[in-house]
Amino acid sequence: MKEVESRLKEEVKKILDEVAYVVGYQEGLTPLSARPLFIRNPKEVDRLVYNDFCAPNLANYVKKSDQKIGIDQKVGLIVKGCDCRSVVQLLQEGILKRENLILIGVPCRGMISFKKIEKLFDPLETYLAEVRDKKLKVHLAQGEESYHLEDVVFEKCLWCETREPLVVDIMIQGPLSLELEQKEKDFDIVELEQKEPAELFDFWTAQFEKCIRCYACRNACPLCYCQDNCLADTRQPHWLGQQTDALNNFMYHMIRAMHVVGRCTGCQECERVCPVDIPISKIFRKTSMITQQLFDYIPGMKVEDVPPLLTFKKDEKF
Amino acid sequence: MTLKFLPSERLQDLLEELSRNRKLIVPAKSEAMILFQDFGEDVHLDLANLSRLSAKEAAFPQTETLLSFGYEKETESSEPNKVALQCEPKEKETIVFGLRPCDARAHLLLDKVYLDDRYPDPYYGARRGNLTLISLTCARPQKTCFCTSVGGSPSDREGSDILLTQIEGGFLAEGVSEKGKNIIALNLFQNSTQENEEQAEAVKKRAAESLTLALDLNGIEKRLMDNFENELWSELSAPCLNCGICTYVCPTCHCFNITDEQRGLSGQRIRTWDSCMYPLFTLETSGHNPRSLKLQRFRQRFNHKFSYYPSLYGEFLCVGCGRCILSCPAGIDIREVLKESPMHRGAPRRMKIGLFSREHLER
Repeated sequence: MKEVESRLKEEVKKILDEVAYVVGYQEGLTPLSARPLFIRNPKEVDRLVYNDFCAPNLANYVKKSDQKIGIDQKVGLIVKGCDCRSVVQLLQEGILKRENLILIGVPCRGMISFKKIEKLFDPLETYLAEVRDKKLKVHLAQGEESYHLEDVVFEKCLWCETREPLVVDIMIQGPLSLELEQKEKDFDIVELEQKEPAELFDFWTAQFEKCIRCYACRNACPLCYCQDNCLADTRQPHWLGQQTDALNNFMYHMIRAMHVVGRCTGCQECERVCPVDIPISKIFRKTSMITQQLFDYIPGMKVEDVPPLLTFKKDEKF
Repeated sequence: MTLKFLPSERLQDLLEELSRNRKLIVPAKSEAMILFQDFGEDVHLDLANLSRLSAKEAAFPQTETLLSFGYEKETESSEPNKVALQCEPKEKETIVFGLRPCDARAHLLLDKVYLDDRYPDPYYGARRGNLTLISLTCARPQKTCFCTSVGGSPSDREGSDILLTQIEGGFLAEGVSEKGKNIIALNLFQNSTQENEEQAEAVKKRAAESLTLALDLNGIEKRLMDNFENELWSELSAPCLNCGICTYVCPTCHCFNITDEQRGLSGQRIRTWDSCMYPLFTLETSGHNPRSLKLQRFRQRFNHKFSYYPSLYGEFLCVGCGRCILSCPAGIDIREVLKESPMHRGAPRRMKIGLFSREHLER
């Protein structure tokens, strides 16, 4: 991955004159985290990193910005396979302009999930971390430890079908797989479907009781772009109460589900950012399964596709 | 100061005693995180790790009813012409056990706002008067902790009614307030020995020494104002998602919203947490919003904590718990905004942009 990182730096330097800035990654709080970096000049390229901890979906930043980058300002964006689907979806919906984007594709062999790690050891007490020989190796205060990658990468990475970005201007070649044992796509949803409705309701009620309505799931979602005009906040019409209780929180998440259905590309940023560990992506993955079946459509795959809920065909059956 | 010793094997008895006829809240493990929960049989007490959310809900709940209202009609078809209001702040005695000294101290900062002589808040006041805080010396501060930079310490007594320090075989208990002294007068506590006291002192010393980071915040109040228009704010706020996480996990953020939640002819006027990160926070009825941009909302949070609040009350509105750093999905670090700080053993890995540190501004 070091090689990928150095080639990426070269490519970013080449396009800096053409764009307002390039959105990439820099080191985060721990050796197991990365955070967004906005590169404006060649000096800032030095801070750019690319490794197995670059989980955030940067596609979110091209739409939600004070500067409207990617809309009326040209911008460079570093995309992994899954993130690129968000860009494709935003292009389909006419939210971004292709000519205002320089997409730099990076190879992804599965990203390490911070939430999974937290359950295994304290990331704050980690001094070094790297993926080597199909293991995550970390230096902790008590010495070196290694973990099976299957246990520490995001679940979505274990069923990923788009490791290579579908639409790019520049592609940095590199390792695309660690040959991990794959999991059946959305196996956890299939498990949930086995529950009785009452049991399912109890499951979600318990989850939504934890919700603090910080709206991080909404704000981190590249496709939730009713920026500053979300009906979760509006008082007129009064769709949902401001009370933070299971019922109103339920309503908030259901409204979001209805707005993202048939558009969600499954990047799972909503779940990654949740401060109280609600498995929110299950809702979106379940609704996506339904729309995929109904309309034979997978979001974020081809720029020319028209999202089924954004159009109407005369021969559609009701 | 009254000193007592609580043997570990009496901890459970103490918690049961404290929960009798009162609400007792303790940090407990829930899935992979620690949250403050009502004490009960199936609660897994965790005193070692920092809770994901602070303990401020005990005094400042996320949702509270200020009053209930109901419109009355003379006949079925007439317009409602009367409104009946009901308002009874009922507060049960509440104890928070096992919170960190930083979280306890945060309550004093909230008091300055809500128990101000001119505008005391009766709802907050009722809860606060019924609240007892039993804190525990933070024996192993985390790498995100910076309490000593903002006026606290891992064994700070400020704001606590009792300060416990975990030592061999139990806890040394210091009764700080009258309320606290009454609790440690219970039979469950024993007289402390000199050895107990020395051990506790050693724990406190070790904890304080482990906090090596010292932010130089001297003059930050003015520096922030002098740099209100500095372009750095644009750079710093760029990754921010403008979600409410930092303000909601914060033990000192205290802004609220008031809304009427009505169904049919009756409803409640409620107060809920608000966040300066939200676009509606300062949206005026006219449509004008003095903080319509993310940058402005982002800046407000730091200015409020390190300039506006200090200018009113003489202290920072931050206790250095580090929760905002830990929970921020975009990796924004309050320390970095204030000053550079190397995080890692060996070569500093991050904090490469000099920010509002004097060094940076002099460059």
